Amino acid sequence: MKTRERRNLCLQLFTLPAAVLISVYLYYPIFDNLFISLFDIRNFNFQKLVFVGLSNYAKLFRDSIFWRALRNTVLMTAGTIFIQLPIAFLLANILANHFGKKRLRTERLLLILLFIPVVMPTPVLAKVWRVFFAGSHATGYGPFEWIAVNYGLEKAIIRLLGTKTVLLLGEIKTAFYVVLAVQIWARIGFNLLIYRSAILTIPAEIYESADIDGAGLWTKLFRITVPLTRNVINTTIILAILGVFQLFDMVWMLTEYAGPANTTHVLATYMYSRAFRDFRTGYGSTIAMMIFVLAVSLSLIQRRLFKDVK
Amino acid sequence: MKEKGRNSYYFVMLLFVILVLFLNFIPIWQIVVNAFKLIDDYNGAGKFKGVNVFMLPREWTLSSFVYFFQMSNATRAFLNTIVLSVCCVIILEVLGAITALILAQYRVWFTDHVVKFLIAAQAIPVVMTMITTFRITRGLHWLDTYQGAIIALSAQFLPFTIFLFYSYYLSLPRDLFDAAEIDGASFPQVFFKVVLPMSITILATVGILIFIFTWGTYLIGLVILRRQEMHILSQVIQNMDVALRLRRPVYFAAFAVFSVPMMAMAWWAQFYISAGMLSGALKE
Repeated sequence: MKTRERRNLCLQLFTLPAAVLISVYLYYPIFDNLFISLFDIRNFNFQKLVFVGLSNYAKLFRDSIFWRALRNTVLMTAGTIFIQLPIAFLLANILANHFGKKRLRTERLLLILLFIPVVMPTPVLAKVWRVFFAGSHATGYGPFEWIAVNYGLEKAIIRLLGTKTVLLLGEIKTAFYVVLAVQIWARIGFNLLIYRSAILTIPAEIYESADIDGAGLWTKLFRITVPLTRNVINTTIILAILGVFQLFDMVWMLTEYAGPANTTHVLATYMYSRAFRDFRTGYGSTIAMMIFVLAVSLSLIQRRLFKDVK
Repeated sequence: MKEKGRNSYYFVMLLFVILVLFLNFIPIWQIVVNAFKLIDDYNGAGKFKGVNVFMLPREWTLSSFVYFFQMSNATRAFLNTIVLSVCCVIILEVLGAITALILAQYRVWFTDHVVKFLIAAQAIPVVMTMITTFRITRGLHWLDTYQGAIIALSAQFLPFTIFLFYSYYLSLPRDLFDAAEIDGASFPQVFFKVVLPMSITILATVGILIFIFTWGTYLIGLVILRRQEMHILSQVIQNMDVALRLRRPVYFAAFAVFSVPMMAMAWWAQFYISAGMLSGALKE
């Protein structure tokens, strides 16, 4: 048995490449950002380090765009958890409980159609909707504008939303909500698939005994399906929180660098634009630290709350 | 037997299905219809002056695709994207499978800590690592190189990959490995002759998921692949928005070219994806 332990110890060496990669690219940045955020570094020029202590953090808390980005991130998280996940759950419930046991061909088709945005690259989703909402180019209207004008909805939309034009992505009032809606829509399919597989694992006998007890459809949904998939729901909430904090390409490409007037920034895009576009590396690191602290603490809090419920 | 709340229940369900189906339909329909249009057709006339986005093409044509691939860096970007995705898949499969197998079945006293360390990295938001990733890549003189992007991107997905493989290998029976040991099989023999044939499903799952995750990646391209020849498709799509303002059909053709490999992969692999997502979701 001695040889076996020796061999196992030797084998552990082969886990080193993975451990090194993960340490260097995922754990080291935490400390690196903590370090950089204490300096005023411009344009990744690490020869010129100016120690500024915590003044980057002080500046951050007085930065109105940062608060705007934080507000947007919080709204995005809320939208994901309270709109996207329930929709995904309802759809999954239909697919699993009203089709799944019978294996209908319709279910397969429906699943594929509902799943389409997930199997398209995010840049394509962002850009299709950007083209859809974009303003008139040299030859005429954008698609959304065209619909609004041709069906006489222009006035109604403007009155309803209080904007100047129907170019919703160009209006400070509505731009972020367009992003929010597109982002919520884009990730429904992903959560739908997770929920569906979870609901399919619930034994049919439980539903049958509920039928015998005369439970209605809503009762079955809230008293059986939801409690029995609570583990998965919890996981998707954590995934959603982490996902929102690293949400970058959707916002960046849909709004063309988080315009108009920096109102659609989320934390990730704000970090990128500070660190890589304005070349304020130190300040960018400060935002990166905030992303890390917020994302990790939020998912820890979520986990703690859930444990209490259980 | 008529169940309580039946009507309201089905009404709400149907409403959501129709809403989501309709929203999903809009982008797909636009891409299919517009990618095969002539520019004059798209620019429309009469009622559709300026934007003939929703109608079928009057004449189906592939000219937009031809135009797209003749654009300066489109073909190169397509190849770059394939190289990036495929290399990431290969690296992650090899590294993930070996690491996870050792951690799951060849345990020593500190293995639990290693597992926690590796898998907990999933919780780190990738965006916050970008400044350091840029620093490291520049330090290695790997900016604008394949290896720079491939290794950085692989590292981001490594915790997830190890997690998927680990939970699968943990479920393999211990007796299997004991038997192999009694027969005197070495680790490579066990890995290639015993474990690999049993891991086809998990290998396919991981490969497909990683391909799908890396195909549309954008941030790594922005940070590491900055020279135009090294751009990947997501960057090309972003940069073409303004350039193709008057040639929207070409832009839609670009969407189609970008989406098709990913959709084909997903279509081919429906089963594996749902199995993999579930095992990813049921962690605790």
